[in-house]
Amino acid sequence: MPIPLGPVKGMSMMNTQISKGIQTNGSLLKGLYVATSGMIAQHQRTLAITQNIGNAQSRSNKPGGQPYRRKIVIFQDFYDSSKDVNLVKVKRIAYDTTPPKKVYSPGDPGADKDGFVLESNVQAVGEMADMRDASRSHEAATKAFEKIIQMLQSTIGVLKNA
Amino acid sequence: MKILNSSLTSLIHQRLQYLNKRSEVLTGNIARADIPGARRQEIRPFREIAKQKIVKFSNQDPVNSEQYTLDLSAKDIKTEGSEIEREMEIMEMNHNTLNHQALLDIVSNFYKLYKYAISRSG
Repeated sequence: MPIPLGPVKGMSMMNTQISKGIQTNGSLLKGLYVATSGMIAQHQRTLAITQNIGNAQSRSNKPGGQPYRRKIVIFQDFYDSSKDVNLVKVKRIAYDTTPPKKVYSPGDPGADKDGFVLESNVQAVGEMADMRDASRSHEAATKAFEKIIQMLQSTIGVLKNA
Repeated sequence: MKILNSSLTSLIHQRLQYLNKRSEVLTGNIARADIPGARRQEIRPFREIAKQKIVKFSNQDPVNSEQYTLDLSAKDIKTEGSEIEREMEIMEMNHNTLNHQALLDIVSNFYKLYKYAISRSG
């Protein structure tokens, strides 16, 4: 499954739900956009890590073929002029240049004439640590989102009771 | 409607705008935490900003006048040398939300006073 780059679906959904009816020049709404972009970026990172873990044991299927290479998600902040706010997106997916592991497995269809087959350069333990880090970043963005919602609700509550 | 033009209410509204902007900046820090080389951003202290900005009063349309507008520009946001720590940003965000809630309580009390004054005069 390809990992989407650049503008993402979630943002357009936010655009539909929020900015169509309400002006986005308020800082709280901008904060919601920033938090959402952070959550989506972390989601994409999680997707890449999941792919890495899933392919940790994968090997080349023919002699001399290349196995799966570990994907690394690189983030970038950018200015969104339509919303007048700095957001975060996935800049690109890089591939780990660490050489693949060489495993002796003479019966494997991908083995060369000496019986060696190339295996993915993914380290499952490192990926699990990365996954936890991505999860914590996502959680932080979610908390920020919740706090902004709380501030909005409080403001609306005061105006409602005024 | 002179009652709505008091410098205190104006200051409270400006402080609310400041806290809203700060929440945006802090959220930006959290979102950028995993970008290599990203540095923490922080808005200038409210005291400094409030001293420089000119508070405009208008007698013609007090409710929609510019007195509540605190024009925060990119110059008011500074990039610090330190790296971004998610936990610290969340703590600052909590602090910001508490300040916001406290100010809203004050605003709410103001409204109650206005309501009381109107009901007594009627």
